Amino acid sequence: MRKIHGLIKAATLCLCLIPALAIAHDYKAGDVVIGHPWTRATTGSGQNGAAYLTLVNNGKEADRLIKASTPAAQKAELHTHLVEDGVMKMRPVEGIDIEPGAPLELKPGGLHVMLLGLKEPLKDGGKIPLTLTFQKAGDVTVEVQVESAGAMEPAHEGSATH
Amino acid sequence: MKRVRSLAIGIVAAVIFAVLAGTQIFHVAQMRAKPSGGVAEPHFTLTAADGRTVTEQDFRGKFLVVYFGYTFCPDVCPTNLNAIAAGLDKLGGKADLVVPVFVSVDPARDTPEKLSAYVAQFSPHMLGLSGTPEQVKAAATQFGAVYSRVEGDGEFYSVDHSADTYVVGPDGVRLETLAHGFTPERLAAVLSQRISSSALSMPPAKVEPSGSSQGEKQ
Repeated sequence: MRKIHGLIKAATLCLCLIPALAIAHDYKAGDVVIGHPWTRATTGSGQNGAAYLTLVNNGKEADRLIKASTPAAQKAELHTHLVEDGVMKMRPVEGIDIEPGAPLELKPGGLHVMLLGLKEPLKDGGKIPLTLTFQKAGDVTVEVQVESAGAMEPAHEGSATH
Repeated sequence: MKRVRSLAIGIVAAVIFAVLAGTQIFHVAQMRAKPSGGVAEPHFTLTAADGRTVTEQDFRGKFLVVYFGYTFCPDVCPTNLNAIAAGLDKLGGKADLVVPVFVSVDPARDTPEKLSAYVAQFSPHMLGLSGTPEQVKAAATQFGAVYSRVEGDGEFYSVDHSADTYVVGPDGVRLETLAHGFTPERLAAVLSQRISSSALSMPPAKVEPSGSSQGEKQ
């Protein structure tokens, strides 16, 4: 029963991701499709940021995101969010497993790529490169779109003029 | 023999049930233990970005929407501050009766300049406040907010913190606590209802000098 539930969930998530994936802002690393990398604008220098994206494994074997790096920050880490007794905690994770047929969404309040010590403020409408390292698929560099500071999701491609 | 076996199965089932029920009760207890403490009428003494000292008395006659966070917070704080700003936008003219306040729990890094630039990203009306570590701690305790620095990332450390948003009435009494993830619509509905049932909705809303001075920073 639980399996069926999981399947329905996965299928629904797949369907939800189709429009996102139909837009050009996607990258491939082996069988893994990286969709819509985005982040939020920051002010001042040396601040922290968080990057979000979707991961879909179109292959038959699981892969694992094990590292992220960017010249835009001192350091990038894979993070998750824990809520304990109403307290929000960001903690590093060693890797993010990407199972076939189980699309993942890195989004506010959940898994994210933490950007520690940004060298420059992230400007709304700008872009920064982010290199993702997968256990099997290796390295791929994606462009992360900077959205407004309070954005909850990536804007559609081509609306970067705001 | 059969009876013994079914009795054994029964006992095992009862134990499993008890354990499950126990964890469930524990879970509920944990949820209740959430930082919803604080006092009914919070007092605080903090510093605004322009250096002036502010206390709860400065906001009498206005509704306050208070959130504790820090500017290096890239995920949870922007989510809530966006919800606060968007919620106030939905109030239209009534938003003049509300002051959104962001209190930094990271005074070591959040300089007044950083603080004011940070809050301005969300709303030109949002007020960034901080103070000495003791003042911030005292204010947080009054509201029931908790926070603690995470060691390990050097100067880019993060701060664990509760992420509730507090609504305070024009008489300084706490009215509502919204947990992380509330929608702008929910905040707007809460404020709208509270404003309508308060005396403030009677006279034509005029922004007081203390309110208009918030736009000066940058």
